[in-house]
Amino acid sequence: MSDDVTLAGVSKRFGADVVALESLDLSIRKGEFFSLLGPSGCGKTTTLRIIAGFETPTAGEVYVGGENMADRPPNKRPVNTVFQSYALFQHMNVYDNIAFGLQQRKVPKAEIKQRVEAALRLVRLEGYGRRRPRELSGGQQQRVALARAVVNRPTVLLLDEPLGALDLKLRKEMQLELKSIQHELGTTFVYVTHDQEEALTMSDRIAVMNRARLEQIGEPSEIYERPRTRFVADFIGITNFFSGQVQGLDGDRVRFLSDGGLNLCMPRSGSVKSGPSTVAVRPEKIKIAEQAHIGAVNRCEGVVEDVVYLGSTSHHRVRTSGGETIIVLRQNDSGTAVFAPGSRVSLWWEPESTHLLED
Amino acid sequence: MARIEAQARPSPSAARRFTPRRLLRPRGGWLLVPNALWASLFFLIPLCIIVIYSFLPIDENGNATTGFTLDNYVQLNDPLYIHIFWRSIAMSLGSTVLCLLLGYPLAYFMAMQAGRYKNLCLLLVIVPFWTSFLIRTYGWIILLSPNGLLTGVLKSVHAITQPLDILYTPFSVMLGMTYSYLPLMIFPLYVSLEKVDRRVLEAARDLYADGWSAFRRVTLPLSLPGIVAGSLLVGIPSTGEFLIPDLLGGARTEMIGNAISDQFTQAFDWPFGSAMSLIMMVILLGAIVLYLRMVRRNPEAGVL
Repeated sequence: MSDDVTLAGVSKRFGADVVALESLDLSIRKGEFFSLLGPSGCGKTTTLRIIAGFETPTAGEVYVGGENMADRPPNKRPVNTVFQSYALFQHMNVYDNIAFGLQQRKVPKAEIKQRVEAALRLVRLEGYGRRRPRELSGGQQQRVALARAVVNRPTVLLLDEPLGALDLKLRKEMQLELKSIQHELGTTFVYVTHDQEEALTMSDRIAVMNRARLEQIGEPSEIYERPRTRFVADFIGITNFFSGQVQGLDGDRVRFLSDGGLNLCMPRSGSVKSGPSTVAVRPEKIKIAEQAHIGAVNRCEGVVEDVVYLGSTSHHRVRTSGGETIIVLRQNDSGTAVFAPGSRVSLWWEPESTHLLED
Repeated sequence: MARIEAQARPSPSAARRFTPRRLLRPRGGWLLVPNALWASLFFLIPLCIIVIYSFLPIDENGNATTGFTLDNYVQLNDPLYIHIFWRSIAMSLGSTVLCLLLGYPLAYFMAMQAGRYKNLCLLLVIVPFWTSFLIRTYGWIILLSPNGLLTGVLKSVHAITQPLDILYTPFSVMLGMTYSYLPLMIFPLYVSLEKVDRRVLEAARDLYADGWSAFRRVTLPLSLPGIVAGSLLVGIPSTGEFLIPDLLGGARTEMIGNAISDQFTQAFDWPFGSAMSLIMMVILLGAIVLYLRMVRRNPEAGVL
């Protein structure tokens, strides 16, 4: 599979001491739905603006469709952007907004008409061509912004938190719609978001960013199931962290002793340093019962401190005898016992669900 | 979809309609009272007096007497006055266009490029106002007179041999009016350009527009309210201007303001002066309506 966007050692500084991006390397494949995920100020929007050409990188190279983008102004790049605030032309109607890019490229009038109408159909806004943007709802404006970009058939479509301003229900609908539009067009999408759930549900691959750096890059399940750093484990989903010491290697397994006295065992991935480390375990991987499963490797005993009922699941907060607090997420299926606060329980989980973090 | 639509489009007329009943409601309406009092005392009542005066006949001594006549209006249908009317309109149009040509680039620079020097620039635009209007206009006489500064400089670089004969011409009046009214053009332009969302300009660039196309298709139409407001602020008072043509135009460049002033202060023919004032107001009103219509018809001027 060929790459559509490649960033090689891209850095961006504002002034002398504000680092917006630190030596970013990124390859985005053709036809991929690629998300840049991170908290505000992590550099994800700067990355997008560098690809679009609105910011010039302080160092490094940007390639789009195999071509070096250095010294290419935004209007000469084969990318289009869906802006966070839509940035629609309020003085033009919907039709002229969508036709703008095609008119600038001197596409024949008849073709413009046909393509704008196809774009309006794609975003389900047929018959809205004569309306002004301000006469539309937020969701509709968002769709116009999308149509205005995709009508130009860009190599890469850049989306800067396009659903950020919509309410939850509409956002869910638009997520599905965006995904199906991307499927239909086969265009490479580069999607900036701070919403981890959005990134997980929509993306083929995610780049998690923090403090101007790339933390981890991978498929959603990989990012979720095998977080490599404390930041990734913490930012995406809920995680139990155990600080402690790596004791050593046991074949291809790592032995770990937590500060609370838990002996944990996990598969080895990459190089392992001995000394203080952190281990992460997702709450839904932990099993809870009165008696531990015989032969369970990673296990501990504790007392339920409180239970939060969340409909389909319940959060149990368990305090271990070593003084550590562990969150356990449990399905509320029929017939399973309910653990009241104060009851003694056993917890256990698989070594494969136990992750030694790099930092 | 239908549900979203219904929420999204509150009828704009409902929000903006001012009916007498709305105005008289306890909240809000009283805010208009000070201005209404001021305007009726110092504008509406004097205007009525002028209207009445314009229909009064004059006796053999030239004083207004009781009665009703259209003579004052008929008298205006004279090539001399028609010429003065046309000249006033042409000179006002000329200085408005000059103000726009000079003011737009400056306002654009201040709004888009000046960054943290914005406020300094705004201050510099106002600085000339710290000196009396009269003194500033007299300054132009010194600059433009045949033995003035401009002639001196041009002579010393051998650009001209004869003294410049530009003082007391329509040109010098237009210069003076452009100079005096320029800030009134710059401020509304600056405000409307300042409001233009940078991201919208980025969107235009993203959609293959080069700098010039982005300006022509996005910035310019979005700044149209500023152009309209500035043009009205400059065009209206400069049509009726009488001090600048008096000082810089001499006897050769009389404008309608001077003609009106002459009727009141020298000929003491108040009814005729009143008629002239009213005709000027009607012409201005017509011009404004025409101008606004023209602007509104521009398809990309939907901002208005």
